[in-house]
Amino acid sequence: MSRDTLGELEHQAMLALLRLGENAYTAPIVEELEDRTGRGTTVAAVYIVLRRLEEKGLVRSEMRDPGPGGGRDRRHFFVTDEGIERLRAARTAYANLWDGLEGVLEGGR
Amino acid sequence: MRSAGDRLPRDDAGTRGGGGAGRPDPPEPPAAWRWALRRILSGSEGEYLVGELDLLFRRRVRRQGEAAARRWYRREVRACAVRLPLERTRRGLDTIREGGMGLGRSIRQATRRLARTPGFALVAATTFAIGIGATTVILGLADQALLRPLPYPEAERLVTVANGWSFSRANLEAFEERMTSLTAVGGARDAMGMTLESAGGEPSRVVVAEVTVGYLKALAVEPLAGRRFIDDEGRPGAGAVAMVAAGFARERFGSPAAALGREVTLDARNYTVVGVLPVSFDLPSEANQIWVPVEMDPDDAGTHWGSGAYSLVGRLAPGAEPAAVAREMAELGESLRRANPLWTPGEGYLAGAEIAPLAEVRSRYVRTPILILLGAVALLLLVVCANVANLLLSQGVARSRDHAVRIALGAGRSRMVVDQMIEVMVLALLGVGGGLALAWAGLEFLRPHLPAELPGRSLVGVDLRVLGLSAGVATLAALVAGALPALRLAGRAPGSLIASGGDRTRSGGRSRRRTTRLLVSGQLAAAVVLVVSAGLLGRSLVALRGVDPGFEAEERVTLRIDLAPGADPGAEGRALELAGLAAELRAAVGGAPVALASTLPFGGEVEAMATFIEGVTPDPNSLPVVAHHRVDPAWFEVMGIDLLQGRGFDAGDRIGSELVVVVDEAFVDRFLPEGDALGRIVRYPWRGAPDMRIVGVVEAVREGSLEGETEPTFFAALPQMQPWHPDHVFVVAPSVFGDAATTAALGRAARSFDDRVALSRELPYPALLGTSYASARIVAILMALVAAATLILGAVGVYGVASFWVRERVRDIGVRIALGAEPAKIRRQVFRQGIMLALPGGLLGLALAIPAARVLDGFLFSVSALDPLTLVAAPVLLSAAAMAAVYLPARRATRVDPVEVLKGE
Repeated sequence: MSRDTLGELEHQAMLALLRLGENAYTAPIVEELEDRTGRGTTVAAVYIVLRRLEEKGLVRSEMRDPGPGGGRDRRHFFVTDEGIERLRAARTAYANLWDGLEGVLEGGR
Repeated sequence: MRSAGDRLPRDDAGTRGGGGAGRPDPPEPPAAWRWALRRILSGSEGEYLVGELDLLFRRRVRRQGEAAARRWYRREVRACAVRLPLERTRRGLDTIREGGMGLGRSIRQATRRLARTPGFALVAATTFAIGIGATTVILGLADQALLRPLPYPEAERLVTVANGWSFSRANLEAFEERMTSLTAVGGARDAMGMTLESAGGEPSRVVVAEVTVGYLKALAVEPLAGRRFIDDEGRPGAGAVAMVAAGFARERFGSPAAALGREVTLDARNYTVVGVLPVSFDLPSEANQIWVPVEMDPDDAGTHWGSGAYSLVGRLAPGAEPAAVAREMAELGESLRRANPLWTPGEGYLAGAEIAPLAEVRSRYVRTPILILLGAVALLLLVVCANVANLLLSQGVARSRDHAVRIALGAGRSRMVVDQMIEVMVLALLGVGGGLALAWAGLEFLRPHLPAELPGRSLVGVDLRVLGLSAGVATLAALVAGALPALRLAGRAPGSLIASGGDRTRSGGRSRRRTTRLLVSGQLAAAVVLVVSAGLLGRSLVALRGVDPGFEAEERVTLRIDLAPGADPGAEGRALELAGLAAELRAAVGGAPVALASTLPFGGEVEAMATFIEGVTPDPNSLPVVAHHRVDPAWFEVMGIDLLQGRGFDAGDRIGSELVVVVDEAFVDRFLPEGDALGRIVRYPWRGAPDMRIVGVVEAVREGSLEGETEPTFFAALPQMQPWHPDHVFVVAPSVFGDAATTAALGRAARSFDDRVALSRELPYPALLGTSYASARIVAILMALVAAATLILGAVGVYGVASFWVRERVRDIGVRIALGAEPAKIRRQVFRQGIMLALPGGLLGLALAIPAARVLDGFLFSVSALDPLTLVAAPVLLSAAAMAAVYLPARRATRVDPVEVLKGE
């Protein structure tokens, strides 16, 4: 079922959320993705992906007060337990697929 | 809420550590693009994203310089413009798809739940069916008569004269030539009977309308085949042409197209069929089968200015108002008056015409009764809704545990409310099925009894429009019926549902019972209103039927005989012919007396003329208009009309003898109250009209209506052939062999006398009288049916409450019976419950019935809107119904077996 597989951007966005922890709102997520993957993306794409993940229950979000510094309320995103479970399964699947292929990659270099 | 346009130095400071203080204003994103972004995104979510982009823009300025940041910003805006609307669409489609799948599932589940409680489903669906059926019947009538636009192009521009005026041919010609507020105008003369010859068959009588060429043009009616009349066909010397009704064309020629170019022979003259009019065309009257053009001679206009017989239809010029037509008509009347000095119409000629939309005038007699009936079915529908709501409430109690469990398992409350509404919708849908079947049968039954005043009565039925209307009514009813139970469901905690499921006497039950009682009281109140209304209309109808028309209609049949058209036998010849015909007819009914007359009271045709009465007024301009019938000597005897003074007619009253008339009591009372009527002279109004001497006075005879004052009438002796000899006669004979057999025997006799005669209107005389109160009868019958349905539903409501009361108290009753309580006492207690329900409902109903009855006032004949008998009888009937409804639960209560009940604990 297509709903059960994680898309690439979905996968990356969830990892970015985990890295950013309490600081995971849209702008830093976009920067994190760009910095870590070295590829450009757009705020619109990231935002859509986050909302889709939320619909699937892999991510949850809440509007948060910006704290004592002031400024706008921000939507913060967190990976849910189900999301963690899904990431773990994905990593296992990738690890299984990579198993024994290290040589190919080395050779390809 | 702050706008996303606020500057955000702290955002920057918080994440990247750079201080904003002391710096110049940071650069802004390109203003136009930012503005565009705001238009694309909306709501708080949009504000949020705009803010995030602002933030990212500033960081990018710092990292890559302003130009690159601007490029980046523009790209982001473009991405938002494309991706976010697409995403919104996807979400919308997903919701719809899920909703659709969910609806299908919910309907299946609702059907399954209903199938588990078939008794409940059947009662609820039947209740809906009764309400929807009754509403559909009335809507079917209302749609034809009031709602549906006339079947002509731009029908809202069609106007006619509302105050019953008719016009002469010269008037019509002047209108056609000179009026600018009408683009087309024409006149029609209604319902002339003509004898239609059939090759090889018996001649018959058809109803023919004479119309001007402009009449059909104004209506812009599209012929089914062929064409409308063209201008020359209204001129003298043009070939005789006719248009025929679709039904007539099919019956006689096989199909509308086959009728074109064929001939019909009317009163011995041949007409070529040039067009066929559609079934929906019913002007000037529904009875018309053939239309022929009026002969209009422009050179001859001055000779026929006088009183006219043509009703008018006009098509308003674009932007013109009916009032403009009336104004123009009055001005035209004035100029016509000046231009025709030979003829002297009075001052204000043609002024005061009430011009009104044709659709409105057509339905004026039925508008109020239909609105009253619509009001009645609306009440019935409310009762239906209350009943179904009650059923759902008690069903809800039965399902409380089920609901509580579902809520505990996480079913959303809104989900359950939706489920409940879907269940009601399914019930209503079943009700629509049953209701439409009822409505179809009802309308089929009603159609032949519908009064002639109802426009489109032959077309009344269940069609797509009516179907749509009744589906709308059903949806509305389902929403109303489902609302209350759904609200209760929405407003209760699962705990209370479990509690009320477990112990029905707790507080949740109390509020439900209050609601139920309120609903039942409301139903009973509505029932009283409708029963009172039906009672008043019924009593009025009985009173109307009880009015003495002044003659005996029972046990008598009538028949119209149109004598052979063609060669005119002259007065002497016609007198001989009628004498011969009368002898033949008498023989046909075994020698019983048979009467001939030119017109009949209640026969639908009236001969009325300005009449000179000796000793009343000599002024020729103010002669009273008096109706008269020309009758033969047997008439008074056959009709059972008593002679009060002088003599009736006898064999001596024939051509050449002194002309004689008999007047009725109303005539004497109005014109000659001194009591010296006998011997006075009566004359027709034209110059040289012969004297006719009053030789007798009979009891007052009503002319065409059982209501109001009896209008004066006189009778002339038919055999004297004054003022002219008739081309047809009505026959009245005692119904010696039963109605049908007698008219058949009379018809055979007439044909054997002369096979060229045309027979029509073979009717029992009471049926003729009946047409005068057909409207009153149909309204009374429909109101009675609606009232009966409401009463039955009200009783069902009482039954439901009483049996629920008993069921709730089975344990108490069982214990009391075990302790030796009298069954009679328990029964009394149940009956008390019934009375407690009926009393407030009945009182409220009476209070509401009084203003409701006032609405009926205009329709009541010799019954007051506050008729005490009806006002007392309705609550008595209601109480009887309530008691009957309580009887079964009461009996059940006394038969409770204490052992069983206690064992069940």
